[in-house]
Amino acid sequence: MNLFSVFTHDTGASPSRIPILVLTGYLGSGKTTLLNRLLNEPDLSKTAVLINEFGEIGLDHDLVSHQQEQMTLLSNGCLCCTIRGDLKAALRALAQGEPGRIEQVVLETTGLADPAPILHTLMADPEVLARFRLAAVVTVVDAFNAERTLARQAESVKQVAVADVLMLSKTDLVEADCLRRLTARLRDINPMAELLDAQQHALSSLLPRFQQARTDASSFDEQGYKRFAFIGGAPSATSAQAESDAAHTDGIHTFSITRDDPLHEQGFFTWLDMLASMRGDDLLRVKGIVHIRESPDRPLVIHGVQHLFHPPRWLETWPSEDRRSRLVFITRNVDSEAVETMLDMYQRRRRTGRGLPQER
Amino acid sequence: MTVMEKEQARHLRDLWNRMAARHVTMGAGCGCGMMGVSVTLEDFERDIADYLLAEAERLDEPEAAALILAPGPIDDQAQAIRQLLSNIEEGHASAVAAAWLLPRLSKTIESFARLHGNSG
Repeated sequence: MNLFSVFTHDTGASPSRIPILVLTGYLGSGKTTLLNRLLNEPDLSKTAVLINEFGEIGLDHDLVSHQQEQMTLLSNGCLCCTIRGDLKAALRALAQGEPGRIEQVVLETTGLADPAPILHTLMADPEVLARFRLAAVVTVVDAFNAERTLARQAESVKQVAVADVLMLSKTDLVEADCLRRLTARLRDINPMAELLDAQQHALSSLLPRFQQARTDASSFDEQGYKRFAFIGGAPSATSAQAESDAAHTDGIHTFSITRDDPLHEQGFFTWLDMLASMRGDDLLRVKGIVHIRESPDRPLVIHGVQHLFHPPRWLETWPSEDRRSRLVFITRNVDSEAVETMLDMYQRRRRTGRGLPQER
Repeated sequence: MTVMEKEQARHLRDLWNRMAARHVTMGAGCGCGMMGVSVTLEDFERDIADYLLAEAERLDEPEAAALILAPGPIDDQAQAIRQLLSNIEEGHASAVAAAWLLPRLSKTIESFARLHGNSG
């Protein structure tokens, strides 16, 4: 049986793949404003912009101050299949251009979009992976309206869940108490993301994101994990499962799994593959650093959105003294205890009749 | 063995029977062109049995280990978990083996059920 198929294949393509930053956020959150600020940066002059709009007539692209030949409008963004085709075609056209003309891509999604299908294209399509790499997902959150939007619009919750960076906009319009409440809610949904104020940190934070891969060591944020692990109390010495204070009404549920003992490679990958196969649609985000028994000096970083995972990356060294395996899940109606039980089962069984993961 | 334990074994066997034929597509893409490998939950029976055997040996539970291996080596058993549950249900297990195995079988099978969207 060919398992570990959950991971997208590393194409072995050029390390100089063009980074793509995905800019998402609900309608009116301030994506286009942030995009314009980014594009005014001299360092980003060689940026191609892809704009995925909703509806017959695109508007956002008219609001972006950028050279028209470097901007592509992806129409009918509400249809996942259409956007995937459009996106591939647009990226193919960019890749065929003069070398060096484009140094990075910013993809602005429609505010109504579930970003997962777009991310899947960027993470899994071999043609795209050969020339491009997903650098980061930035979700702009309108501080003034976000609480209501998150309560009513499932897509907005997913946009927060898949983010590497949550960029708060319009913070000057809300009271400190509201901002604290919103921050807690965002942390509840996605404790791993970097949370920033668009007015203060947008450019200084986002520019370095183009330079790093999403699965770099630095992308496993130790502080982010600790921040999450202590939600609801200090983690125990052996199993630091921590869960958000209460299940949200939308079923979004965050939890972590920590293992002090190294994990067997085959058992770990089989477990992850089975989990993604059974509940892929409900794994909004999975991120972790794993101590594999067979490779004690090289931690494995995993990073997934729903059923698709980036090719696992074996790091050269551990980023800190902490060598525990730490996995954070953002899920929808997934039973964390069942997930842990299955991990234990695959760690303690002895049969090894499964395939092998990616080369290291 | 108690009647309640036999009843629990029957419940777990029924639950697993309902789930065993269901397909899981490992690594399938959702329309992005990736192909998956289709398996059934039945394919995981030997993994569960192997896990239970490893635990029984690690925790020195020879009666439980013997019951798991009663039909033969795990790799030769077509329906290792259903056979094990049938043996308990039909009273072929010692009280010690049943008391040790049933909570673990219950936790594992119900975890499969919850992850597969069937709480039994």
